[in-house]
Amino acid sequence: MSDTPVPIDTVEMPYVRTLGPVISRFFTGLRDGEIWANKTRTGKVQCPPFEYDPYTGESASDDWVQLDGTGTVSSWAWVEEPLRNHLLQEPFAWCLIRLDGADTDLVHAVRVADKGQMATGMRVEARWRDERIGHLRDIECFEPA
Amino acid sequence: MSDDVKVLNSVVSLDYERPPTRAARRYTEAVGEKRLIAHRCPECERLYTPPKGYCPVCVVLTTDEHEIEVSPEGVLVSYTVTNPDKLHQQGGKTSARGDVMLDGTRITLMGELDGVEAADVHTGMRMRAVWVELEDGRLPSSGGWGAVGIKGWEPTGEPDASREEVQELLKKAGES
Amino acid sequence: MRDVAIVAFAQSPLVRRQTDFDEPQMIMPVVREAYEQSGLDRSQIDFVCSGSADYLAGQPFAFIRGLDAVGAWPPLSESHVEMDGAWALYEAWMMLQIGHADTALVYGFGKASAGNMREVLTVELDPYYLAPTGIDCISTAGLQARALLDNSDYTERDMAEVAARSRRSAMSNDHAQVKKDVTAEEILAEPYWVDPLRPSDCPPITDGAAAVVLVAGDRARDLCERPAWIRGIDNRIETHYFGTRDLSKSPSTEVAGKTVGSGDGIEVAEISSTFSHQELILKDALGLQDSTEINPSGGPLAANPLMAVGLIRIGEAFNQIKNNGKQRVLAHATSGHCLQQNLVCVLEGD
Ligand SMILES: [Zn+2]
Repeated sequence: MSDTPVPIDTVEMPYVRTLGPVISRFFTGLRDGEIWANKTRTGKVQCPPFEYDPYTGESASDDWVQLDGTGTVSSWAWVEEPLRNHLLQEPFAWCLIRLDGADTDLVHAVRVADKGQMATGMRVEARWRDERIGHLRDIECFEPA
Repeated sequence: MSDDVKVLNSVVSLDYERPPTRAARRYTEAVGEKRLIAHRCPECERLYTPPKGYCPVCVVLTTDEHEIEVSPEGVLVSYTVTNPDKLHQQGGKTSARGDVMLDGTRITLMGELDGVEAADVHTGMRMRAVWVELEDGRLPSSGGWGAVGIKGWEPTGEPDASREEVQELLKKAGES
Repeated sequence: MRDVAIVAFAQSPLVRRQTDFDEPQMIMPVVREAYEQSGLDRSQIDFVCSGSADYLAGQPFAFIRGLDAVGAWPPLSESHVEMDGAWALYEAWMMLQIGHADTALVYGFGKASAGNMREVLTVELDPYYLAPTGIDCISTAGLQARALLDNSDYTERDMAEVAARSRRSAMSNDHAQVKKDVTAEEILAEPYWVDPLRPSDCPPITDGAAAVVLVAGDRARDLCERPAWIRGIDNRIETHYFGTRDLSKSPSTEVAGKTVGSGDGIEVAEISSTFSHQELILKDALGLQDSTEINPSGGPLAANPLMAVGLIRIGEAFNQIKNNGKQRVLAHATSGHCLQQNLVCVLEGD
């Protein structure tokens, strides 16, 4: 076998996805520096919001509540070496974050100076980007509150 | 409402490393020497080029021991002429593509027809392979179509196969 | 219900990278071996079903090439799932149940070595809220492991015990990829990879393929000295956004397990615990007793050929009945991140 290196093929697929009314409202809020959650018909507050209640299959209600961007870490996993697509390009923690006022967890990143600061139950708050486009990345990450 | 965020733009970008199989490596080496190799199925004797490393009809693996050299020349058994249009400008040129049945086989390989005016293309023409040049011992990644390692086909200048001979070749190829 | 049995199982070598062979070349000897074991030739197979994922190969409709390995001439009655081969087996089992076929070949295959699996498996996540974050399969498993550690009495030592036992068990499995005499202490001494996961809590990257032959009715006894009868098979799914799930539990496994009688007299369980902590979650969800031997093959921690690994669990469970004289065994397959979808199957000997 020749020792020529194996060529790398890059497969690239661009998509433009329409959002529908619920995700559109959530992303529009992010662009404007606001976090919005919606309620299921049983009154559960979902953030991120869905068009439906994933536990019953029923449509969500039209009842929306604004959250203030603070919350509590429900679970975390520490990444020492981020992948190129990760939210942060420095050591950080993936977290499930229960935002104050919500009944479900948001998956996002938490930045701390040192892994030793991470703990389940720690309080965090959103750090917003200055330039926002209507994307989850409009929240750069969460940081200790 | 009008300035609501309505869409999400995203790009899925993934890298793949696909080392060539043994059969593909040997085929590429042969192309570098302007030779064409095939695998002959030990059960049905069908020929495959480039070699797959198996016969999908008989469901058996084939290996180096089933490798044979086949002629990179053959007879044009079918073709199509493409005129430029809005979608396929082709540099404003009319071009022809064809199916060449390799001598002594019932393999047909597709490719661009070179060295002949589209208006003069006809079945029965004797053709030979125009080889792709290897880059660093590898086949350049092709954006095109047709047989791997073969850029296209050009006339050899030899006398044509007759209509009856072409019909006989096609009949043979259709036998299962 | 028709009685349906597994009469043959074959698997390829499970290796880090299968260099010389492409997918059809990798599958073909496995399918041949399964046919030979069953004594059936392909003209006697009524239905063929496969499981694979085109994103592993990075080519649309990559699964079509797999058909070269089973012979699509004369034309076949065939189907494919973009999932593990265990779900292809489920589809084939249903075809036999409704009487559209009496025999079926099922195969699953994947060459995970071609792409970067941490990036490839992100693509199967929700494209609005999860995939755009770039979160990967090791990180999602890490969130799940932490949720388990926080919400149960299990410790990192329990995880390390699972990881060590799996690699030790694999030493007696000719097909396994990662096999070594390792202790929990040695694993606990490893630095974290994605904390709380250490490298040994995670599966290897594996290329491989597997095939199973199913037969309905008494004919199974003619074809196999000790067929494994499918006494129950069920699969259940949970919602995809894991921020709405309790990751420390697997309710879908629990429901599927109850449906097929998973807690009852199981001698051996072959389960798709892709990460060490998942064995702890699954054992509880299935209600397995301490007397049940778990993953004597080494399981996915010893070899993880994506899209074949679940089918291999079913095949290894079949081998326990056919070769080891076991009477009642269980197999489990999973799909998606954090045990999102789970299939449970109970097999019995005669
Ligand atoms: Zn053949």
